Amino acid sequence: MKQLVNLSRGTRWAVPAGAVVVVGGVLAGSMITVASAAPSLPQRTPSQLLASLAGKTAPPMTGTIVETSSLGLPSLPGTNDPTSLSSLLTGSHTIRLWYSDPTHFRVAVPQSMSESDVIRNGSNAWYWESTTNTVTHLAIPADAKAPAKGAASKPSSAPPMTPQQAASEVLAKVGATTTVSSDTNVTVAGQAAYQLVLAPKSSSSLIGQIRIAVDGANDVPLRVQVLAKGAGSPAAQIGFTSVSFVEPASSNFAFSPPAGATVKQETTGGAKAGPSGTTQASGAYTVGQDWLTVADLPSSVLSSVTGNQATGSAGSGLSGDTGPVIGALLKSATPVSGSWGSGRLLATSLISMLMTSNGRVLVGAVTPQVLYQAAAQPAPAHSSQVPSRSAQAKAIGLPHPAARAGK
Amino acid sequence: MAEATVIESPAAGPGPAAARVPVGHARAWLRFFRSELRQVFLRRRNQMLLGVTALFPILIGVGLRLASHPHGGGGGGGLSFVTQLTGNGIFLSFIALTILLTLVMPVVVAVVAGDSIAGEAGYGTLRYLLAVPAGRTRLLAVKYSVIVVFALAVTFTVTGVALATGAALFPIGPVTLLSGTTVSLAEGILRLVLVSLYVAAAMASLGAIGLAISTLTEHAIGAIAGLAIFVVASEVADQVPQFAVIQPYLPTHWWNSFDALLRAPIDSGTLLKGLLSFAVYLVIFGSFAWARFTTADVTS
Repeated sequence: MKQLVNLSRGTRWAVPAGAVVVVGGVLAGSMITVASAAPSLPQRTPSQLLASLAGKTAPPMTGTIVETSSLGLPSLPGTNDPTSLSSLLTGSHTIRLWYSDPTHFRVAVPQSMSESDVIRNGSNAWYWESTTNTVTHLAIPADAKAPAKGAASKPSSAPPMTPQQAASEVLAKVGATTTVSSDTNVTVAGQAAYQLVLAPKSSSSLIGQIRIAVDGANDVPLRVQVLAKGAGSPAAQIGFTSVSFVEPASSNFAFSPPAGATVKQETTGGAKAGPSGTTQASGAYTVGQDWLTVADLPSSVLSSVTGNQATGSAGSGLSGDTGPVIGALLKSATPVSGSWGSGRLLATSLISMLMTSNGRVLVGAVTPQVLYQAAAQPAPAHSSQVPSRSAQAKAIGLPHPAARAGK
Repeated sequence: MAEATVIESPAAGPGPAAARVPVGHARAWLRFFRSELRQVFLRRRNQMLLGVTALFPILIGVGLRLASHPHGGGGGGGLSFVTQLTGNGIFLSFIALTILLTLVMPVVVAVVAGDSIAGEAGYGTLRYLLAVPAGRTRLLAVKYSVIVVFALAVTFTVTGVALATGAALFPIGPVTLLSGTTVSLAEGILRLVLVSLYVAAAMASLGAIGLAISTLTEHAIGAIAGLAIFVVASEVADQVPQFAVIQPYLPTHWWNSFDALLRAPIDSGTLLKGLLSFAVYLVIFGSFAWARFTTADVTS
């Protein structure tokens, strides 16, 4: 203490200044290492990478996933509500994952002072929403064919929840329409990873490339980035910020509805549509194939997709954001017309959305011209019906699972 | 109230001066600390602040009790705790903390922290305090220790009163965490204590900022208002989406992250980030207060 007292005035001020410099340095340093490190891994061709992704089931893991999207959409009302799809369109969201095998996993979406969980434990799947104190229980027969999918599609808000799902949907698009290459290795969540780059050949797609970081040791996709054409930074990204490949404690998969919670029972059959999905699915179609797939929805579908679950009473204040969402979208859309008719167009760097005057909504990661062509065709002709979840995935610009069926 | 403070402060002057008696360093330190502690907690104004803070959880509890429906719910307004409250009174503590953390608790801490140095300077008692041999560094350390104790007192007043009110107005029992997992009442209360400690750490970090501002002025009210404005500005910036990039570095950003303790398993990553943020603000503003206070000319 005596020495401190004897320090000159200038030296004393160096202490807080030094503290600021050290903190700033550590912050900057952490950002630079993330950006510059290119770990070395044994050489692999893009097709080897693809194969390694396609063949394997994921090893057990525990991790934190962050999803960010900056699609250039106007700021939408209700984006704080985790149960509404519009919340996924802007900003950043954290997801915690405990994964043992396809029939034992837990996905938690923590929000400030609330949490939603999807838990699959063998033949039982649970969807827990703390804001409404509601549990949805789904009993899955042991011989169900694609059990994990049934459970994962349960929550009404679910676009691909994990990098695995996102990557497998992207891989479904690989074909004659796509240029596949690899890029320099990256470090994602502390893991050395290969980078697989998929780029559409068509000039009508707004997607510049999709970059998938594949874990070098475990063949697990760690991050998926979607870049708009000509963009330097991703418009949408989902990836691990921390991951460890160890078996999670089985207590994570044990769930029993808490006392006082509302419990809804569902069966696997009902799960395909879901309580709000039944109305969503009707009238939704896709036009075109692969990268140029356009979702064709009646405008009422847009309403239900954006999270209007409720005309009811309790908890509806949270998710009843439909009207404002449409209003916000319409406000920033510009009027357009052509031989196909007239409507309003919302064009962002990654997504085009056409709301026609006769009540159709066309959405795709394509140039407006493709939407006009689609609008010129009569609504349901030459198209296949898609489940609601695909329409949601489409709406946030992720590749379309239905494209698989289309090929 | 103004009269009381004017009368009390000079009277407290001889307290620290008595610490001159050449005893062991630690004991002198402790005596100085105790006398400062007494001065803060016996001060009518601070007692009233604590009393008013204790009223809030009762008001919130009674309000929610009257508004609650027999079927639960009641328009939670985004707080899932409110839906839980009708089934378990312990949630009143979390509700009270969430609500009071936005303004009431920071302002109460700001009053004590902003007053700590500036108040003494304003009353002209600072130079008497500095007559103590170990000087300004020790004075600053003692002042900050008192702020930390006061932050703990404010936080545990809120949780304690809220817990008692919740137990009186609502049933109490096993606690359903945000993740839907149910833990025993004992573990629920343990988690409540941990939550309180985390919040107290947030308030103590705010106290360090208040101490730094307090060394800059002789007007206590200026330091108090300055800190309150600082808190509100940070909270506003935390709500504006365009500031998303800097939000994790705002001093108030991690205050509500105590919800990490209410998940299963506990989200320790988020907690550690919050505590790291508090520590960084403590180090930067603590060292700033030290550099400023030990080099400033004290004339009053």
